[in-house]
Amino acid sequence: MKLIEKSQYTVLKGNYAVAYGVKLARVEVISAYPITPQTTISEKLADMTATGELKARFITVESEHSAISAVIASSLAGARSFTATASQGLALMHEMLHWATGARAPVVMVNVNRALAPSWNIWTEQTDSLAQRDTGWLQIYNESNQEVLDTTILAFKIAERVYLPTMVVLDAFILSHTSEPVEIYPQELVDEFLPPYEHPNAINFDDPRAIGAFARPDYYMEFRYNIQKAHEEALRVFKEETELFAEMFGRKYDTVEEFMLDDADYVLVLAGSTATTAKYAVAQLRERGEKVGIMRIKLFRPFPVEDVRRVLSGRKKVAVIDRNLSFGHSGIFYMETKAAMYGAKDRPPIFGYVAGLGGRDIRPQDIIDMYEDMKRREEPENIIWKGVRV
Amino acid sequence: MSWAWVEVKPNENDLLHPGHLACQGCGATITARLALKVFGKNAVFVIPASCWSVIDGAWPQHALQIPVFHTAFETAAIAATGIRAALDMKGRHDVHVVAWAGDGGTFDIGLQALSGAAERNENIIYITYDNEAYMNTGIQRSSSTPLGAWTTTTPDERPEDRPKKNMMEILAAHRVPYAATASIAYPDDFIRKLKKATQIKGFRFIHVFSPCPPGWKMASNLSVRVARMAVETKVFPLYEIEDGEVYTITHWPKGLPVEEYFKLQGRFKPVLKDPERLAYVQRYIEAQWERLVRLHEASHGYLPEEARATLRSAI
Amino acid sequence: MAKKYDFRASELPISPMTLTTTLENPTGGWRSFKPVIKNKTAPCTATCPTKVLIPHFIDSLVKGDLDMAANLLHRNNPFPSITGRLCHAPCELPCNRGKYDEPISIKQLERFVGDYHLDRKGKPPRRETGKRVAIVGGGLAGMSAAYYLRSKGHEVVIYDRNPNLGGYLRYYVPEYRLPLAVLDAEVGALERMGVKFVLNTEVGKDVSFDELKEKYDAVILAHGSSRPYTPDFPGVDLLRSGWDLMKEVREGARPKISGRVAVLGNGYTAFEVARVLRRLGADPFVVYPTAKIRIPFSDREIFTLAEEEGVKFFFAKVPLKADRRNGKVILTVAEWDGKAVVPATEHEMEFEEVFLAYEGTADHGFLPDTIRSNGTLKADRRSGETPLEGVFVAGESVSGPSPVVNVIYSGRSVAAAVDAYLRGRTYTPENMPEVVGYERIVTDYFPKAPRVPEMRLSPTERIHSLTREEVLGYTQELAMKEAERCFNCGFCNACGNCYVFCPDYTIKWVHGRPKVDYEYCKGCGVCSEECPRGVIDMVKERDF
Repeated sequence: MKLIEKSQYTVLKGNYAVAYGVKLARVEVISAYPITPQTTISEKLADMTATGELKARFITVESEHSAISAVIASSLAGARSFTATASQGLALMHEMLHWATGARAPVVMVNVNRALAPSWNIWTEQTDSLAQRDTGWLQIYNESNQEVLDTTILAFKIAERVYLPTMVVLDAFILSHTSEPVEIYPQELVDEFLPPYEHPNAINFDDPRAIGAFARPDYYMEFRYNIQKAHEEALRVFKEETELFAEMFGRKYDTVEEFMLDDADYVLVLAGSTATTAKYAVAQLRERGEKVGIMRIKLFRPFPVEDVRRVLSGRKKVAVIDRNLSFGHSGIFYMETKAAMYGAKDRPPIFGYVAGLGGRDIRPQDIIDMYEDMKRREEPENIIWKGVRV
Repeated sequence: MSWAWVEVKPNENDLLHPGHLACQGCGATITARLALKVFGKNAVFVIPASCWSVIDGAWPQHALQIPVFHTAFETAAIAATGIRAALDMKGRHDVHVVAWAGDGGTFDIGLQALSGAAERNENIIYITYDNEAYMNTGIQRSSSTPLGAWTTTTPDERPEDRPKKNMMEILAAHRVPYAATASIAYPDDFIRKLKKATQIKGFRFIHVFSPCPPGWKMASNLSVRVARMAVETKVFPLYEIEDGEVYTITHWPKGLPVEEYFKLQGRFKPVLKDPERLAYVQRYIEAQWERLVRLHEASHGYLPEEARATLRSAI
Repeated sequence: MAKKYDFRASELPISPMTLTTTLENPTGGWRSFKPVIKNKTAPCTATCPTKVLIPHFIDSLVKGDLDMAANLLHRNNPFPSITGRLCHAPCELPCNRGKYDEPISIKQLERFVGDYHLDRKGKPPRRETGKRVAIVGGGLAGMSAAYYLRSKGHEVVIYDRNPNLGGYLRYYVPEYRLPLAVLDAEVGALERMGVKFVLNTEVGKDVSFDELKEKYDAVILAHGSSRPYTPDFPGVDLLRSGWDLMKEVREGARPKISGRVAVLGNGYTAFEVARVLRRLGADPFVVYPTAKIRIPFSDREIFTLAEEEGVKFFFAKVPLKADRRNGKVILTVAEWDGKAVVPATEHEMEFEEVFLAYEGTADHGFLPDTIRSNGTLKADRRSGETPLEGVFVAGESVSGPSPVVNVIYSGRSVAAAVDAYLRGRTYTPENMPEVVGYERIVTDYFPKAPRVPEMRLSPTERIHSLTREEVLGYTQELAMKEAERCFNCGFCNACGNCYVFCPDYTIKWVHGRPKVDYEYCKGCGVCSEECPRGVIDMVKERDF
């Protein structure tokens, strides 16, 4: 019997899918601080470590800042390390996100997308994670609970190959607290995919060094250059590892997911669980004969410029639907997509839609409305608000 | 035969290489040298933003011959916790994880993480080398800056008007198994406390008085002398608290007037010029000392003879 | 300057993990002042006439190495058992510890170490030079010179008119003050070293000075001031000799003398004769030419002892005339202002006996005129050189009556001059390095502790015996306790403070001693400041 046939099939909330992913990855140190909607990840992991189901130290810290600081340290002390957070918590971690990158700590963090206060709002929005764009973390967005579990495992593999911290992102409640059928792979198979963690610069008592020592201008820039190179490498590693994952586990992921794009003139670009809604809407539009498809961005950092150009070049129009906003400019995926397309051949006009902030529903009809709005428009605009009462 | 040899053995665990970047006469560096005498190679230092971020050397060099983990300002205690967790998972129970922070990183910005780790009784040793201000950034006040002191943010016209934060009491309130003060001027006492700390499991805190010649406006050769005077004037008593309850004064000072300590440093010039203020500082010191002596008495049920002398001199 | 690297990005470690140590960063260039570890002179050593290495030997004592302590002591004082009893201990006056609590009891420590080693010392030199030296007079100066010359490998022959060596110490100083056994042991040590004695032989009578000069490569005249001085006033011939009394008593006689007796004298001998008389049962009065406060420091100890024992004094008085009436001696005295008799102060005093006990003078009768002038010798005070080549003078024969330690020093320094002469070198007197003042002592390192008192007989016990030693000194335990009080001023005793407190670990510990690593030393000065005994100086290297 092939190992994969020993998989367990169950129904899991997104947060529990994370926990099972962490368990399968044999994480050794976990540190987290309660914040809705991440909390149930910590709870499940606390259970798992308490029962011994997962052999790891769970540090119940006093803040998210400490949560990330603890796992950066444990990661550089040679233990596979994990944390999870959302929104305010992620914002509080900001300083240490840079630190993780600079220290090349391949920690994996799950961020459950949640809007930032005020007003207090616990519902989904991508601005929290996208605001950490320049911290040097890999960011991988997810559409389903199965994908969440798969990506958690993949994240460790990729992070530990390029020594960069990696953020796995899922939507508040829509994924985190919603149950879906999930396949939990046999441990042996995951072990085969994900070897034990080692870091060549980890704390070593036999060869004592200072980790993270200050560097003068004559060396600092070379270290930064190397981080950029690692990000470029990460793009290749992502492709390799998703290929291998597909081979071993039967699920194929890519930097971007292409849906009904073969003959599409119009492309909707989005990320996260909204893609599921959009796919439903696009299927309806296709039935009406509309030549429309979807490009779902999965890998946000490093940004898959080549793939985005390959997919979008030559289309008639492109609409980017952002559940996030960079105040004073536009939606962030829109901004990134546009920047990627600059200089590409046969560049289509790109329209920027902002919808569903603070967890406001994006319904199939909203997708259809935005599509039709795009078709009508001649000149692209940076921000086209969807559903806001002006 | 000097008293110093009682605890310090020559050429044993000299794990600090010269060439490091500390200023002349750096107390924090003496603190580290003495600590390494006890820890040997079986320790990792977790160093948050502080003078020691610089002292250890600029990349690619390091001075400490043990592993060092540099971390952000407020994270000494938690980074140490993380390393402890990882080493425990790897079965390395034989090594000490030492958070090595300045006063700013302990009393101020690092207090949250410190409190968390102390409350969870993390199995780490937290050592704060206290130079009573933000020295690495150029002498700004911290909550460790003592009453009457000059810093660049408490200038002569408005010297520090609040007493130094009592970290030991904060730690005692966490009921940690071991908290102690120490001074570079009393290596035997410091080393004994370090040895004691290494034999205890759980959160251990050592507050080491580490003078800073440039920050205290004094000649670099006075580091140790000034530390000694701080102890002998009762400004910085040497004591330990076990389980947050049992107070033990480990050195009974001569009880010299506080001027003896102040006059060695330029930073106390404003208070030395103001007799009323000086008297107030002296009264404050006496009150704090009296309180400490009473806690010692309450813990042990009696006071040694030398204790009474220090109280009498209070009048 | 720190070593520079030209790393390419591809050569860097993944994270900013260091690759090398700060040893590549020699920080010695930061320095403006450099610490120099240099032993200095302690005030005690500086004051000691023979420059005994006091802090050195006390340190060895503290460390429990008594043989080393003795060796250090003997370097400049061959007879610590003698000085440990008879020295007036000027070293203790300037002791820095005296400014803190009480001075160190150096004399008693010296005596302890000397006595400990008394029977162990006296080894022949490793190498013989073949040079021969004659010493005229086997008193303390001659013995001292003999000790050092012999240890340099020269053949040494002492000529003495007495049946044994020791001179004044053997034939006059009472047993209760210096037991003969001690002196015999010192003489025995010289014998073991290979010093030859020609006894019962008076130079100028039994053998001529010229003959000695002929036979030997060098001659040292150490015949001392052995002729008692007799003042010149009417009736002086009616008085008895205190010197003879001391000699008799030393030899075992116990003459019966009682009632009021007077002792005329001007120094040690007068006080000692009075004490002997007290022990014989008399009630002695010392007629002394100066005021009490003018008693020289060197005689203070013996004065105090005498006073304790009930000896009485007439100060600032000189005898003018003596008479015998009704079996008593009537002594006419007058006040003396230091230069002349104070007019109209003459008066008579009645005594059973009056003893003359003035200090001795030298008898140079056997010497040629070339080195004599007006009854004194033409000689350099330190080297002892005389106008006659190869002839040197040591001790009281040139200096007149002197404390024992000065006599020992004279023997030692003349021996050094003779040694230089025999080797064809120029004699250079010893140089004393800078003296360590109290301000250089970091007293914080020394807990206050009172001086450990030596064991002594009480005055009552003392006056009942002419043989029982009056000062018993220290036991080993007491000696150790007292030795630990010593600051060891200016002497690096490897206490380790500089090493312990160096923030840069640039004071290395090499073969049990500190050594500065100037490549890295930043010159902070903590070592100098924390050296408890002023051994480390900060020497300016360059301007700021």
